Amino acid sequence: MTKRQIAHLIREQRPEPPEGYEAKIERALDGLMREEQAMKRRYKVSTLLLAAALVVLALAGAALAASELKLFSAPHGSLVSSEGIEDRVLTGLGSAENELAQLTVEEALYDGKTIAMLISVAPQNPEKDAILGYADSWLDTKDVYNVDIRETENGGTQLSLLGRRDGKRIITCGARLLVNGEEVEEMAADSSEDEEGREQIWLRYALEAFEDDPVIHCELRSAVGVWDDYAGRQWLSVSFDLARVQDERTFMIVPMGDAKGERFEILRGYLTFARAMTYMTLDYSYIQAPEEDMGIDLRLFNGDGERIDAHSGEQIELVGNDWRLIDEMEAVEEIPETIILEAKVIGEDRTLGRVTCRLVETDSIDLPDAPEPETPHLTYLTPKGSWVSDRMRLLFVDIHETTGLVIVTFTCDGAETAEKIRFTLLDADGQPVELKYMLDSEGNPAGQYALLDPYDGYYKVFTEVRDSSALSGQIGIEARIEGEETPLARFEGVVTNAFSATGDLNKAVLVALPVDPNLVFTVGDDLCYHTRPNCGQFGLSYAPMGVTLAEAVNMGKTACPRCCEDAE
Amino acid sequence: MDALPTEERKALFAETVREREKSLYRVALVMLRRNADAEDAVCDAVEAAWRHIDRLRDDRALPAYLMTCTVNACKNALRRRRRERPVDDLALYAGAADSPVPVWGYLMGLPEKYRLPLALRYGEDMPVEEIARALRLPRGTVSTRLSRGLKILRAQMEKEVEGRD
Repeated sequence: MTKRQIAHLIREQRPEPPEGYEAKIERALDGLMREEQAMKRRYKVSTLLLAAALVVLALAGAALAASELKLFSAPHGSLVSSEGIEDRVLTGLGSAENELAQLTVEEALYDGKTIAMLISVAPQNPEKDAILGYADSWLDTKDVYNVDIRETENGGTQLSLLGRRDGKRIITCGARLLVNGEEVEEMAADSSEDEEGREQIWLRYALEAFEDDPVIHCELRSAVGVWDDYAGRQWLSVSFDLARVQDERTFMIVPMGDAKGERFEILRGYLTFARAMTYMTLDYSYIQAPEEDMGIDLRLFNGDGERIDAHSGEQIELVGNDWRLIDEMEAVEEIPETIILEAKVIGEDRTLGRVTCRLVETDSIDLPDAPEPETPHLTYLTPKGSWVSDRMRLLFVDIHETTGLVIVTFTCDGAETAEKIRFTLLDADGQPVELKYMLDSEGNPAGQYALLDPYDGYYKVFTEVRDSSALSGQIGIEARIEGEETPLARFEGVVTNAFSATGDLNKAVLVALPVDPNLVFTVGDDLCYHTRPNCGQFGLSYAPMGVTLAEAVNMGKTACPRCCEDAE
Repeated sequence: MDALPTEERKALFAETVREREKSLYRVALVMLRRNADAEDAVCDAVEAAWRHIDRLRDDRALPAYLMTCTVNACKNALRRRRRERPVDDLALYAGAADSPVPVWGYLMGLPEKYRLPLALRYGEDMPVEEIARALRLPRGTVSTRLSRGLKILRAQMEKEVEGRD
């Protein structure tokens, strides 16, 4: 069957919508049109009356801001800064209810990137029902709940909620925010129950970038239902518009004098001061020292040396050979003229230096894009000799040139062996290759854990070498059971860069990969690439059969499903 | 406040929805693989498209805009599924069950990255450029997926035919 015939069949056999579908769409359209008519009627109020109403509303808002705002009073500390923006908080944004509970969006603030809000969920029958603490906060209130605590087989603790001590029925609620129809990420949450039995929930969401629109349309959805009746949950939804507090200012970070400290250098960066948050994007280079297992933390101070605290988990990306830090911090009352960036070794009371920078106001942020990783960043070990021993079989060894990540895939005679197995990589001279941070206090390889890949049924060990250039030519890989003198097995292989191999790509990959003649590879046509350097997925799982390297590269690439799916 | 849609625009919107409702349904079905979810997603998409119609500068783009809204509504539905409960083990859509070659049965079995571009290109006759816009993918990626999708589909169908013989 030709491709053209298949394409024809796809069109010919298109499924028809089920009965009732067209009527459903008509009803939806009808509802929208009616709603629009109602809106139009409302807008026919005379300008004078409308203006008067707005004045009254504004006054009401101001009165509430002065005395009753709760947005900045989350039980464990405000999720956003509050200085000078109380009057920008919108209140009474709407509510929805069903027979179990009423959802109300009480207060909200939007600064172009961050949305902070306070919502409440109140039981309709507080004598009989109670709302379950949001985001597992019930774990902190064991005096209210009956909780079963058990030790698990692997030494962990399992907590199970059994019910409320006062016998009330438990109602659960959730919270999801859609902005202009797209779900946004919840960055922080806090909650508490007030004296009337209402669950008050403080939420902070972040858009991916500053939104240009002065007004965003929000929809807050909450699945409300009886705790042990999962299927019976119903969605409550409140829609509202949020006007942006549009007075953020962006500054370029310009180092004054030397931009370097000990093994780090500030390359470029921007700070955006908004009313609810301060946002920083900073590119820097850093050479890790052996004792700096966790790397460095770049901390921000104003010119007077006062720390500007970070609000949420930072995000660090690899940009070429350098690093990009994306961080959110508390808002500042006064924008400083200069700032200080301090590089502190994580886990130690030691700094690598401080760089003083001045801030230059700018209209735009101009940072180089994080480049697509170059394709030849993964190499493989081609077996030299047998990779099969009495108790184990080595399947693949993947080496990530940029980060030094090494993934060893193997099978062995049981889970117990797999758990205790440790690998040492030996360079061309037979010397152990230094691992980046997988050494115990005595300098022995540690921190290697065999993970069973549920998909393939193989074990994988992830480890990192300090200098991947040590892994070239013929290298050895030694497997040892922890605590035993004699190695379990020792294998040898030649480091092979599949992409630099000449000739037939298929051969290059298949030579590098299969060591077990009984192992069947599905030969598909996916040529994977990665957007995240530390993704453990194979770079080239399956290569096209019988094409040359040049042809394969030209035919396009398929994003790695593990690390690239979200990006798409 | 933006001006409300004019009467003509309102009529055009309703007319375009009616014209495209089957296409929108099929796209939602390809993404969600459940009739009821597909219907809900189209309703959500129509509502979202209407509420934000002021963003549309050129009404000629309305069909593509509706398609983009449908794809977004389906993505939201998929995200919701992941959060709320594990995705059910779905029975594949059998398509034209009485056909000797039920191509939609195979199509629905493909990964989404292949089945969606195939359904849009060959099922709805959408140009590659438009698919790329709706799915927010580079044009080259769409072309590659179409080519590979067809290849996989053909291989599966041939395998099935061989099995029967």
